[in-house]
Amino acid sequence: MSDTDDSYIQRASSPDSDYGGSGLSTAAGPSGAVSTRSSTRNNSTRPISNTELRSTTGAYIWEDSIQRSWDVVQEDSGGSLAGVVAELVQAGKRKRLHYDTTPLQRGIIRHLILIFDLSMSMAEKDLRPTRYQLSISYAIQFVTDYFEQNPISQLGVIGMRDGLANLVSQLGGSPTEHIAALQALRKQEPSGDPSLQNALEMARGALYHVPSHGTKEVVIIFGSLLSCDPGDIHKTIGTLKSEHVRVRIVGLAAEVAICKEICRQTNEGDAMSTYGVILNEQHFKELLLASCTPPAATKQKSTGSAGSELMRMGFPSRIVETLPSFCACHSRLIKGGYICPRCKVKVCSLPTECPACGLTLILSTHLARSYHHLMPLRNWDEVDWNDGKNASTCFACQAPFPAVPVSAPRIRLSVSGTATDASAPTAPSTTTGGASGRFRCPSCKQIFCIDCDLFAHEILHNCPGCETAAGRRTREIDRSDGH
Amino acid sequence: MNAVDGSSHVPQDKFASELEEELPSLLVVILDTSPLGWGAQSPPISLRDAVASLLIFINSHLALSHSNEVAVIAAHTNCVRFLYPVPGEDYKKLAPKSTVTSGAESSDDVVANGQSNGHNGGLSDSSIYRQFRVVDESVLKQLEMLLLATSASDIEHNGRISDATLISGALSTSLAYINRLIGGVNDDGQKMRARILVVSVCSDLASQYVPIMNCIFAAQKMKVPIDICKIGNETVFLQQAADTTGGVYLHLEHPAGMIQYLMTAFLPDRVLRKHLVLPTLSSIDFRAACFCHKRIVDIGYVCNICLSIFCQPPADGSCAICDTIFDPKELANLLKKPIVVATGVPKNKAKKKKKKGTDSTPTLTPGGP
Repeated sequence: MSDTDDSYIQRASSPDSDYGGSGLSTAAGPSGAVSTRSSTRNNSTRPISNTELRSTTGAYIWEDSIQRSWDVVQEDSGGSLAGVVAELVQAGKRKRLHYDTTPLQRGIIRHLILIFDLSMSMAEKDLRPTRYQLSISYAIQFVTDYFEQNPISQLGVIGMRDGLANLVSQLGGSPTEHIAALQALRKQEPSGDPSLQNALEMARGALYHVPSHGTKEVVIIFGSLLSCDPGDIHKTIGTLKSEHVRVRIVGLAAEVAICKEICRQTNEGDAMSTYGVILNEQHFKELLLASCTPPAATKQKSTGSAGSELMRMGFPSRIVETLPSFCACHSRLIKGGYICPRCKVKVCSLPTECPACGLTLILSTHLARSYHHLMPLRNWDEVDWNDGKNASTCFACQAPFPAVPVSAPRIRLSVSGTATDASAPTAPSTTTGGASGRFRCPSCKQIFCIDCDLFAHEILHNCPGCETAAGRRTREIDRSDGH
Repeated sequence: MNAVDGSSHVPQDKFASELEEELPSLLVVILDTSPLGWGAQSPPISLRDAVASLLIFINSHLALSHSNEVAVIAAHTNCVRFLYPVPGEDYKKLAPKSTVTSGAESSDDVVANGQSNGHNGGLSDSSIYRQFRVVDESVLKQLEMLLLATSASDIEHNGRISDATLISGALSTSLAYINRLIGGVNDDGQKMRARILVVSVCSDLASQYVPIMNCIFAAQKMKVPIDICKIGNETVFLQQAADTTGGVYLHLEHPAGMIQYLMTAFLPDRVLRKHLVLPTLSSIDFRAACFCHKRIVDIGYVCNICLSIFCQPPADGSCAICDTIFDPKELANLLKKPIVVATGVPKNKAKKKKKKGTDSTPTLTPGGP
């Protein structure tokens, strides 16, 4: 470990100047932090030899990592970039096509603390405009998405600055409050050093009262390469582990050993899927929003009886009033609202806990919002040219498919009608895996375009083909079960 | 139509100029074509009357702006069919004359008379605004083909005759279609504003609960309001659809006057609606049906793994849907409370008595009606 750090300091033009003058002890040395963003080292405990740091061209890895995105794009013979751009877009979409569709038991009722690095390192301008501002934008989006997908869950935000943990917003179920708190952060400046231990201890405290049927999760956006802790962070990790708090970390700079250790310990040895270092802005967003999906229930939770329980919930009815009255939750004078079925108190918004009798009040639609996590839509298969040539339009959106190519298959966008009926380019350029742009649902056998595939899996969570063949669908399932 | 009247040079007030800058609007009409459903409504309104009203409505939507677009989807008992635009047909170079079947002709008359240009029959076809004719002809022709192809066996669902139609399929298809049109950039480099109008006659949608809910949430995400024009029995899910997506739910008390309802309540699109007072549903039934006895409950028990709703804690201590075994201690806690209905299992009677003193619910009702 120390070897690594020494060699790192000797060799690299160190970023230490950023942290110079901080007299605090660094609990986590930036071991293995030498690599550029794009190369995440797997084995961080092994000392790094000089040759490893050199790439094939003999230069250091961070020296040759610049990829000029404009070099990738080549004009076709007509001098147009449209075809190439379309292919790039298509390739980007195809990357997202494979989803994990195993139906898992998931912790649907979540309690999540978002820990935000507000230290000096967030002032870096390697993300536009700064790490700080971009992280706030993404965190706001995270809050929105989180509550959209987990309507009966709770969220809290903690900031790390000047070696302390600051509560940004309390654990609660209202997205507007969290977003307002995050917006207020925009006016502040990042300062000092972060302390992982302080923040984790505060998060642990905030999650302490969570009932056993809820998950306890922590997501950290971590821009620094160090942590200034008052004590032994490993003790904190031990307590987190014993209280079943799961920690995910998104690193903005480079892999840090202690972060990996935290993720590995608190997620039963799985650090690969829970600790990620970003490559670019897009990757940052993906890593952060991945935490919106409810985590799979852990083993001891699903097999043991602890953690599975019935919850008593009230489904209140909405009332309309001609005269305004006070709501019990915010003491605001409003017309209309919801009446708790047990104690007849009026609350103004759902989901909430009844302020008088403590009953959880939700709408049945809130429950329905989580069903797609429990019953995911199956992945659609790609159709090759021979099978797919009979279908001329997408079953759902009626977009015409590209015609069967004479010489080489060529992908064109089917986003708008005009893009597809544009005359075939004169030069059939590179083929992207010979894809026909057609996808088939395995249960209803209908053929869809790539846009509908993405739309159905990411937003709709229904298969338009299966829904339009409701009578036939049950038989299909029976038959496939018989095989 | 907004550019053809030569009024563009006239100085316009602020409101009109705002309208000018607005995006074109896409209207997707989902027509429930359940034969049984329309048969039951036949004395006040028949399918033919409804289609005639609907076509006038669609034409007025198209007349509002030159770039407005429309799609008509039929939700039938066994399939979902695009009535307009029909895949594979190119409407830009449609032949000037097309054969219209006799049944469609008479409905076409109704439509034509609704227009102010006052021509009669198919003689003055050329005087109809071309876009109107393209849509009207396509809808009538496709609808005729669809109904002729329907046999008695199509009405059966699992051996039981029902008036259910594939509303969830039609909603899914229309959302995918809307996604293509608004997500993609159309000819002028502009995006569209979309909304969905469902004309529904069927009453039984219980089997489509989860897919309809998924559609509702997708529509909400895409900011597509779902308007419901309900003829016949009320449908809870469609009420929730309109409520969640910010659409209008209107149950027609006098279905014969359908055109009036359509023109007043459903014609203004999302931007105009905030200036208008539109009919809203005062109370919506948000109570849930339990999975075990299909009882409507206002206080239920929810499994935290699969989110199924039960009206009482299960007797065997495990979830009937996902077989999760519940924590016996927690279960006992639930059974203690006197809130359990009288028919519940009096398993822990002794314990119940012990606990009873602490369980009286507060009677304090601040702000209650």
